Amino acid sequence: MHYKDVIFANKKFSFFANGELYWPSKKTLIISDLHFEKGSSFTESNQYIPPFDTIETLRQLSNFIHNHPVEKIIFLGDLIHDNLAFQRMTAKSKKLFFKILENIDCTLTVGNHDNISFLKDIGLTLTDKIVIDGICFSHYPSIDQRFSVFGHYHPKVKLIINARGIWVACFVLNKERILMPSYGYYTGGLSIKSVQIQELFDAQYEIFPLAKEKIYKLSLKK
Amino acid sequence: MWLKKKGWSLYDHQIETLNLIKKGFDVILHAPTGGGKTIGGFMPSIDDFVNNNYKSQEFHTLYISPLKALTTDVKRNLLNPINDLKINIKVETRTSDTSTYNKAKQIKKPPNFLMTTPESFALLMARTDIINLFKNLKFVIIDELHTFFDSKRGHLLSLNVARLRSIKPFQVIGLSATLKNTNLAKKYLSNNKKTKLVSTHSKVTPEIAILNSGNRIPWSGHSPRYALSEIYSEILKFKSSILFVNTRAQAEILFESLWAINNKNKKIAIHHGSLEKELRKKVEKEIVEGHVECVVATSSLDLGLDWGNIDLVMQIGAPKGVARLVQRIGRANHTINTPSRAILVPTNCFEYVECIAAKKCVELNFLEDEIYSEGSLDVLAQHIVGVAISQRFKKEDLYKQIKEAWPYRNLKFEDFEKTLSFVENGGYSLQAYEEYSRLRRDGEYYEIRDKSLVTKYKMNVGTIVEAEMLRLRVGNRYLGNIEEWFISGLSAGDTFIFGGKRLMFEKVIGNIAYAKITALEHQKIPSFKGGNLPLSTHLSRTVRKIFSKRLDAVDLPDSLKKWSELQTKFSSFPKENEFLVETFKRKKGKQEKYYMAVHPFEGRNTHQTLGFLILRRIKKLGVQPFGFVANDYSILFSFSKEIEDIDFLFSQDILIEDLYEWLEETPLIKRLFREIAIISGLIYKNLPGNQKTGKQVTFNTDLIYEVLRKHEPHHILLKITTENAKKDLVDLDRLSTFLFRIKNKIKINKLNRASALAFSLLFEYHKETPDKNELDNFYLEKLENELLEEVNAL
Repeated sequence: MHYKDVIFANKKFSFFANGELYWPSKKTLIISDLHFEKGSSFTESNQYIPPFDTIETLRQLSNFIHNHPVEKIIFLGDLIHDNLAFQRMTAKSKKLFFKILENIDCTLTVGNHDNISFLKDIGLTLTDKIVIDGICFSHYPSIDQRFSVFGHYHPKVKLIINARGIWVACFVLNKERILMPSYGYYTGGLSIKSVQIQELFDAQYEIFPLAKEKIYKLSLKK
Repeated sequence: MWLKKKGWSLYDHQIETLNLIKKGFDVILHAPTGGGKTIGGFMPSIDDFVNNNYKSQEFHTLYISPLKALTTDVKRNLLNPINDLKINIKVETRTSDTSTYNKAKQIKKPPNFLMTTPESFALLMARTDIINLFKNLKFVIIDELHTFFDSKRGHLLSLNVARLRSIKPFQVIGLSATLKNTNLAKKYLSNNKKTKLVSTHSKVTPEIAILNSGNRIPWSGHSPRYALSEIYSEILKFKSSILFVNTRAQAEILFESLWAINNKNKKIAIHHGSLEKELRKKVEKEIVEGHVECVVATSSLDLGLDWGNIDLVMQIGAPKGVARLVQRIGRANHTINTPSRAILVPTNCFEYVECIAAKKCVELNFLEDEIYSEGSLDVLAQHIVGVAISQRFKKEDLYKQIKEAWPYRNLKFEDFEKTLSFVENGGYSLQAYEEYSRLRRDGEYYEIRDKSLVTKYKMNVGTIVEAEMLRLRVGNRYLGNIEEWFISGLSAGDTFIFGGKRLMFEKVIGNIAYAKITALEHQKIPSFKGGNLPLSTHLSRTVRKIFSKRLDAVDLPDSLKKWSELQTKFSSFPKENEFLVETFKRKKGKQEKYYMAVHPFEGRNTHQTLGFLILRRIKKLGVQPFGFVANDYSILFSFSKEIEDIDFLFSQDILIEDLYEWLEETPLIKRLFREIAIISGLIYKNLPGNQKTGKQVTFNTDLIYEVLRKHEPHHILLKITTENAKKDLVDLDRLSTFLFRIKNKIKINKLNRASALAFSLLFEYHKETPDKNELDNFYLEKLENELLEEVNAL
């Protein structure tokens, strides 16, 4: 699996090409915005999108766990797309997900799509944020901690290659913040040029576009 | 008889049509433009009306045309004789431009003659009251019949005509000015029934000339600039003229260049499909009224409107197809007994030869066969929803009815069932969406689950899916639509031309691109995909023939003679059925590049496919390819070292095998899948509420395609995609025929330098890159090798 190492808050982290953030010294995996059952949510408007997004996302996750030592997973919010996600989830997906919950210490920092009443008692620790070694992990950027790892925005970037733009998901990094790409299979994105994201990153930042199972690195100045 | 009484002079073909209809036949009326075709088509309707005292407020005749503009035009032309005869026939149009109020009124008090389009017809057919609505329908007239044979619109139309027939029998009249394969046309019109053909030919052949310019004809490129002053002086000679070009980009450039030298202040306008509707309508009106004297146009003006006052048609750039050229020439002089006048303006040496070929074909009336396609299942899926909204149905009954539509005559029951199950709830094998399904079963009957589907269907009917477009806004005006990918390549401050205006790009917000007027030069030209038609097989064969005679036999201008001599001197022209491959190398700085120019003359589409396949082969030989560029005539490859086994590159069996592999991976197939996903109703482009926000397709169909391939490889949508791809993306038949044709006929010329034939591509190779949409993979690899910091990423 293709990855790039970065130093953040004086610690070594790895950005993986599928959107995983891995903290080797803590054997901790951080992923964000899985949006379980986004595909099936479209039945509401009579659109029958192939219902395989959850299983795809979970297989990718299992695959990562299989290949790396993972003792703790932090889901950075928006684990489920809507309240009825678990109701629509296939038996296969459920089995896979609960197996992960059983074997690994999993924490969800609750996001705007996550309705707590549907996520209670399934083996997930639910919290607003979790702070480890001075780094705050949460769905939204932290207000009171210097170092913050967060999701919510689904950042994507347009690479302009030979006059044609290709949109891809990316990590965004500066000295104090890491913005995570969304991990869910069907999730869309918000341009890193958007005001919302630009507000969060000061003059010097780097982006790590994910494309075709590789991860790249671009340094940017405003 | 009423006709005689009025003292009308009728064409024979009009009388013949009337007589055949009276005997109960369906009729195809094939007559040249300006030959009274439209009146001929309506004659039986008018006659029936005069002879039988019909009460009003009933649908009597349905007229369906591929163009909205044509419905209004035909209505206007028809009102003259109707008023003349003092009969009380109510004629109205019903298109997407008709107001909701008027549409409702038409249902309450139906007009006798209704002029409509296939989409509006489909919507009408989705009503629950159609049995009552059409109970007195007598005739259906389909105009520009030939445009429906090979299009998804034609599939949709045939399905609805078949359904209407099962509800109320009627007679059909098909109208067309260009028809070659009349047997198939008859079958398309009315499957399993007797159809008669009434055909009349123009007594005169068009007068076609190739523009004689004193300047050197360029070896490459698509610019008519070399002949600009001659073009301008031709325009000045005539009162009104149309200048047809092949792409919207060419239209923009030519329009601007003409105005730059327009010292006589000739009123010149521009017309193409991307322009805002109001702007187009305005131009059309001004042509009719004579306020515009010359219009630069793309295929947006190919069809329809009878103007009658055009004196000259110019074709700038290669004609690409004989039937197409005939159609365009027909725009001039809409009377049957005077010849149309046309001037062809080739923009490079190859095109000159193509113009000679096209001129010859037109003079011999040697037209292409129309292409007829099998009914596509995405259209069927859309149709099934329409049927369900209108009436509940039994599976077997619907299957029988659909097979009555000629494009669907071979539909397998299995495929029909799969399509039906897709309509129900996506058709996934794990039955995931059963409880949310679109259709509900009541015993043997299928019906819609709830009424909310009706609005979604209505908002999404149709088979024309455009590329992702942005609306272009300048000041407080909309100028038209522009491809998203073109805009995405611009940075704020870049300039481009659109609708004849020099614009500076500012920003994109939502689906609107903002720009302002600028005086700056150095514009980028939106290189629209739309107008890029491939060279017809027919014309390519004739071009090959001319080339095989080494051009000696034809009368050439001096600059072309020179070109031809150089080719003969340093390489050779391919003989008929010979496949010419030229290799040479060039040094640029320290790097040596090897080139291979091949000349299949099979049209751009086929060459693009072939190019990618050969590129893969080259890689397999362990040689690093740098890329390729293709036009209608040739392909030029460049790579890192010499290739010994050229025969291997073109071996038929392996290439076809590679083709399937390549097809699965190419980004082009994803674009095709998007179209199919939208037509079939997997995703809706428009949803209630979305129009206000300007949101378009919300879902990334590339992801859906990949996930389907992985989890449901036999899903009906993938099957449709492959079928469509074989035909539209690669033209599999043409490619196989070509590979078979060149077997053991490859002639290799090893050269010291680029030949005259190869030169044009060499030039393009260094000017532009090949199809950008296709090259995602290629460039991502490149991206990796290059310093990423240098990429202009934001």
